[in-house]
Amino acid sequence: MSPGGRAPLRAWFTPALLGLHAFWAVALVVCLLGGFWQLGVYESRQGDALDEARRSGEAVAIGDVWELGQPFTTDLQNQSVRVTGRFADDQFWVDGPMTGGRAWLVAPFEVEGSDGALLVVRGSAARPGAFPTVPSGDQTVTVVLQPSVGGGSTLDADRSTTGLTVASLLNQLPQRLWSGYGVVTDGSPAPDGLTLVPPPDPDVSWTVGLKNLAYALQWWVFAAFAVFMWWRMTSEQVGSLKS
Amino acid sequence: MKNVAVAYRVLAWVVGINLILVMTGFIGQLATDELSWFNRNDGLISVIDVAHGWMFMALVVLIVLLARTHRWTPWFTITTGLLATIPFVSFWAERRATHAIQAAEPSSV
Repeated sequence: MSPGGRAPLRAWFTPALLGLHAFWAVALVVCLLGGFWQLGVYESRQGDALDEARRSGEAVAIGDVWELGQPFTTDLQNQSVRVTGRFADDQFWVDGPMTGGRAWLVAPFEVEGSDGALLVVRGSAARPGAFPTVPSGDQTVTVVLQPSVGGGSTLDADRSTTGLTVASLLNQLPQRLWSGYGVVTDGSPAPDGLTLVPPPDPDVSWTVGLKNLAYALQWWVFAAFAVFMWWRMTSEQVGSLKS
Repeated sequence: MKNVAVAYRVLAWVVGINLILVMTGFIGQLATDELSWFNRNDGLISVIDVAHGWMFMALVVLIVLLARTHRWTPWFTITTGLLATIPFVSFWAERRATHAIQAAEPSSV
């Protein structure tokens, strides 16, 4: 600042300085809006990617993407598949960290044309209870595939486990098992008193649309810079007018 | 302060060339069909675009340093920054600023 102390307020409002004020005010507003605009683009790109991931859930026949004895690969996760076969009556409950405070009713579904069964989540209840009957005869259901989780216990006396771990269940169920499980979304309504389990939302990486997030940050850095430059330029001008 | 002037000249050219690439990529993506080179290499173009933003910021900082050293008027400082955002014109803005520096310091080359 100039040695003569504070400049009079009037010195900040000369015509030349009014022009500077106006320029930097416009620059600030433009930069702030630019940042919000790019943030909006980032969010809509995230939304688009999520929609896309959900749409790729168009159901395909399970035999087209997977077979008994094959490992569960990551591209199978969230894949929606049609399965034809019969429900087996070897149901059990899953009640643990993966079920979000509810209990899932799971039945082995003997897949037609394969020598084994896919575990399917028929629905969820507030707590484990009596087992509802399974639909009889050939069924075609649509399920969203999920990988087996680790750490599930073996079935206890009430046929309940803490997690859907195929490896723990292999010895307790009479069927050979597919190496993942499916969440029923269509073709088999939830039994009375249960509700269908919503399949998990597919993950969308935060880096989708990263370019726009970077732009938003850049706009805001420029906004801060505009404030700084406004201060620098105006105070210098006021100082030079005084001297 | 000569170092800042040299850094400014170099960066102004890099940003100017980069800006032409950004514009080429932008127009190329709009004007060609979905399977064109431009649209298949969206990742590369994104990198160029984002790099432009950060380099332009560095350029603005250098302009401010020069403006302070050489006592540029606000008008000259602001136009030097704004003109750097226009393809091809940015090179002229760099020459204009460099001439102003050299006029003020006859000893420098």
